[in-house]
Amino acid sequence: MKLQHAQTPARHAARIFARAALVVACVFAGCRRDELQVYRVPKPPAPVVSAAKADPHGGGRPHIHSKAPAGWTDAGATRTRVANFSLTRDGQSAEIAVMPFPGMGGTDLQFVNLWREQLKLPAATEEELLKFMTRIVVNRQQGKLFDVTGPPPSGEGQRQDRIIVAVVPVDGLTWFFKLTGDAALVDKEKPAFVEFLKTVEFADDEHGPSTSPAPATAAAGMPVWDLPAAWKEQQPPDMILRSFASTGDAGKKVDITVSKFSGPAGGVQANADRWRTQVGLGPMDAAELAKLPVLDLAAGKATLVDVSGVSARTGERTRIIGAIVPDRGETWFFKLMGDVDVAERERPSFVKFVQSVKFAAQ
Amino acid sequence: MRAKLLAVLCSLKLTLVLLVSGLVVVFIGTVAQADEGLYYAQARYFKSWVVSGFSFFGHKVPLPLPGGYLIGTLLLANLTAAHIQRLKVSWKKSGILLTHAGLILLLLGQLGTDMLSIESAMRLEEGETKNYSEDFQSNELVFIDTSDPKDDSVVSVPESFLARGGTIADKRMPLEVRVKHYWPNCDLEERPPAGSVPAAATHGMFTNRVVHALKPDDTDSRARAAAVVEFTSSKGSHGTFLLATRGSAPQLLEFNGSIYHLSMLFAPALGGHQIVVADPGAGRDADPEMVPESEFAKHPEVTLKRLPLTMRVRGFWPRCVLYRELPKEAVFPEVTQGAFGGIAIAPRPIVKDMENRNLPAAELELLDNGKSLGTWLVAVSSSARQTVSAGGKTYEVAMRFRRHYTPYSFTLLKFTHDKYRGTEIPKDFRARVRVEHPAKGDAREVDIWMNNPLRYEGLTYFQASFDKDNDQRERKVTILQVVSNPSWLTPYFACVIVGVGLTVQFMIHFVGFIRKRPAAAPKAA
Repeated sequence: MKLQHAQTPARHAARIFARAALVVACVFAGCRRDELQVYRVPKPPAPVVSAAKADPHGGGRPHIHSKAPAGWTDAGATRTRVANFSLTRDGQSAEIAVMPFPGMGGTDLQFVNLWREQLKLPAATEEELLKFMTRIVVNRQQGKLFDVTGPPPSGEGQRQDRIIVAVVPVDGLTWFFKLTGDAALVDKEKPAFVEFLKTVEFADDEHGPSTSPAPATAAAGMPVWDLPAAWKEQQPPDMILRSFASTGDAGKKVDITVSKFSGPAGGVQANADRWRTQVGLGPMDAAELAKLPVLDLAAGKATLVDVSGVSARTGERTRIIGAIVPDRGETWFFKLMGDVDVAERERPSFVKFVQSVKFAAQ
Repeated sequence: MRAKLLAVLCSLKLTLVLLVSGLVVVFIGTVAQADEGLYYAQARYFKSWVVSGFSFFGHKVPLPLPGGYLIGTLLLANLTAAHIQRLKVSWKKSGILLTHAGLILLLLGQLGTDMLSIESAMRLEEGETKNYSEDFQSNELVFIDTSDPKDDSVVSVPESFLARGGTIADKRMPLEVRVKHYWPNCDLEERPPAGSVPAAATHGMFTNRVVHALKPDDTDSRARAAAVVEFTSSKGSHGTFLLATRGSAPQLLEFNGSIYHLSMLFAPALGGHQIVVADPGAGRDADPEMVPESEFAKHPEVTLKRLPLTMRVRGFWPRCVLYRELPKEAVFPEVTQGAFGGIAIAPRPIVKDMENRNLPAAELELLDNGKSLGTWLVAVSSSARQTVSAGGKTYEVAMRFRRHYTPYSFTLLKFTHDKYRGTEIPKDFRARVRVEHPAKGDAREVDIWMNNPLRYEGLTYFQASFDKDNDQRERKVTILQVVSNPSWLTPYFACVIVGVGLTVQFMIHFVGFIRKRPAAAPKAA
């Protein structure tokens, strides 16, 4: 009887509760359902360049900070030299090279005999080694300074050479600072060379002087473009940011590459002449240079170079269509190279591709 | 019938059954985390209505169990119904009413948290700005229209659509997607070119590599020198190693209870490539033994001078590329477009633990009004940019961690990771971020550190983790955990209500007790 008495309000409440629970369950179920979404977002800011520490085993390019003495001419870095200077005085010449090698483990005697061999001297013995070697400190790191002078000139017009090398191991790398040239000039320049070593700082960051015109990473400020559907991306070779290929009949193909260098990178004429050389043509004159077509891009202009000839490398008929695009202190190169027939077919696509390029942060 | 149902719903027996069931499910669900992983066990046992079979100390038990949602919902119904039926609203029972209301709110709040909360992560490098976080588990296929100079238009297709297979078509999508294959977890491996040979190394870090020799005019930025070298002594073979230049750390040769470092380096000053055997225990100034290319090219079998070992060079490639040997189960998607032309897929088992996540990939045929545009491969593990043109527009197509965008951005200004002096014990992780909300004109700098999250615009940002390579980085990386929980306040309110209810009920009884207490007996004369 008591239960009966309580049923009316309880039933009413239970009904309300059941309905409320149903609504809540539906709302929750709806919230969790995977749905296709469409939304607009502001363009992402340019990504920061990855800042991993240079890998002493080759993951990043090591470099130094230093101050070159007056009179040394910076000859630019190469693949193996992170710094390179030349020196000419009174008709005599010398060069200074800075080279890091990972995990170098040769003995002192091996090094000395290598340089003695270069100077056409007989091999030294272990006992003689100390005659050529002194201790030196470079950027708080213990190193060794080797000094080897070649034999006196044996006749008219010959010279006596001398090699001075500082060898400094740092964090798995062995740094070689090598001064080589006319013995008299090297003798005069030795104090400046030692002063130069005192200014050296081994960099463990990615700041400081750029040591080579290495192309930027793909992530850092890559432009966007409309890629022709027929082009297929392929593994880019060294120094190239992106690479594509388009194929024709019988295995014929063209390669399309994108690369970037800081500064004018030699300018239009030097690069156009370089491409002309690759297909067996000579350099262009001023009149031809002035006639090069210019494409209007979304921002800026591209100079178009279109040359055909016989490839100096393969001996086949080859066409190069290149676009040189300066952008805020850098120069971008878009280059199509390969079989002439496929190049002719792809020329409109290439021009469209270049015109579609939009640089980062525009 | 209804009366019986209502009687069951209101009964104390049901309360007891549910509480015991709750205990059992919590116990089994906790034990099952060892077999099924934390995330999956939580989802299967606690965030579900029914559990179809469970794991118990490694054994599969094919019995159904009530899930956490079912027990919680029935408890809620039981409590509410009993409350309505049995309790009469009166001042004397106001404390009990409040306590029960608090419990109901607690249950509802927990249900809301489970069903509505979203957890994600924001990884920021110093100087980097982001206006999105990435989901811990979910992934998405996106088509991004980048033609607008200011904004990108994004169409996001959940990964579950790809997992279902078939054709995905929606008028909001720029094109249709036909799912040819979907791999819930896999590795992308580069296909070794024809003519590659297995290195057959038995020891070291390159035991599963094949070698592709490069021709002199082949350009490949990954070119390196490599040699397969076997070390033997009178006791037999001590292992065959693949040694390579460029970035490979020394490999370890165990011999006579000592460890020796093996490597290959290019030293033009010493006559080309060198195989180096070093004894790390011999001190910093000890010279390693170096065997130059000129020697091992002429005599593949070289007796080492400082170790009683013979080194046999079984193969040497002055320029080659090393590829990972593909597993037997690898498949080769027929990709005709995009950046993954020469890629093989190595399927991997689905991971369920919290430390790892699945990296899915899919082979997709994209169609524009029924016309095939080609087949693309999309993969969460690669950020390679791929595009597709349809309807006169070009779209980026990618598969990525599902993103949760916000109308404001975070910039990491500085990340500090302090340890107690002389130890590796963390003392403080702290991220200083700049929050910019253009629509609100808000721009300020805040610190987020351990146990001091930032609550902003309904989201909570916890200082959760950091990059393990931070010591090697110039720009440090922080990982913020981003939690969206619309019902985060309900437990606080619920606890306050329960506390107030218990206090009120206690006070009612206490006051009644005081009043009913007989007056003190008069003191004896």
